Amino acid sequence: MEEQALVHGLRARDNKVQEYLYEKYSKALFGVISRIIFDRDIAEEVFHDAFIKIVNKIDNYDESKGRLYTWMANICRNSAIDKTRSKEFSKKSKTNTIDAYVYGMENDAGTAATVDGIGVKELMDDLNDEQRFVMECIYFKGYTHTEVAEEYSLPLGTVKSRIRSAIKVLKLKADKI
Amino acid sequence: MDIQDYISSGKLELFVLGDLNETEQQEVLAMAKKYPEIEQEITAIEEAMLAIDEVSGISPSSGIKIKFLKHWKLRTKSTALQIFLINLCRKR
Repeated sequence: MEEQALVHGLRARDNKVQEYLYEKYSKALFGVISRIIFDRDIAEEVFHDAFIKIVNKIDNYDESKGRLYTWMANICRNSAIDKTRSKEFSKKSKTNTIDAYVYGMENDAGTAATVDGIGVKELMDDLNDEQRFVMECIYFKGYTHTEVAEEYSLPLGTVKSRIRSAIKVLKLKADKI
Repeated sequence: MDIQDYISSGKLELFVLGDLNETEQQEVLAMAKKYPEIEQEITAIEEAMLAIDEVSGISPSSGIKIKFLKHWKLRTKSTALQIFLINLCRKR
């Protein structure tokens, strides 16, 4: 389905299109959330609320500002970040790292998540230490680039260029998988 | 302004990640409108992010989907019922 038709169907509150959206993007979007929130139950709760928000607030999506997926991914990412910064969220869950994430998924034996998890591990393996560190802060801890720069005394330009180079490496790797 | 410098600054990645403030976002949008290379680069970054999320994503449990389907069907039904009742009242 073309993106334009998809948005049109969502705006018309077409149940079939809503189901299609779920089928097509739930894996990627849940991935965005579960990178930041390690606890699967909490991650699913956040995903549930974020997806309802996406479907209900589709009229707020502005095509001129970017693609539908980008808008949806940002809603999911922000919902996850809001959750980790809420008072009820335990400090323990905040210390997400790539290793904890991958280890956690490998523990989840016998489910599709284990297979999916290999993807993220392989992806991150190609980054150098500097890129890996920045992406860990941004992708897994939900930091903003200014927070990374301030907390680790790195120049803003350095953080930005590491993000750019890391995404390039990740994309190349993703294409090979 | 050098377009290549702007593209390679990393700002466009932050734009796609939703990590820019309103003023910076507007600036990127204006630049994209003015320079097709910037617009193309943003699209390429958006596609890259999706590709990365697709290979590294995890499927949520099947229970979540069932919950959504019920939620939407109920919403559609209640909206249809509301419209039906409004029309019925109007006719009378």
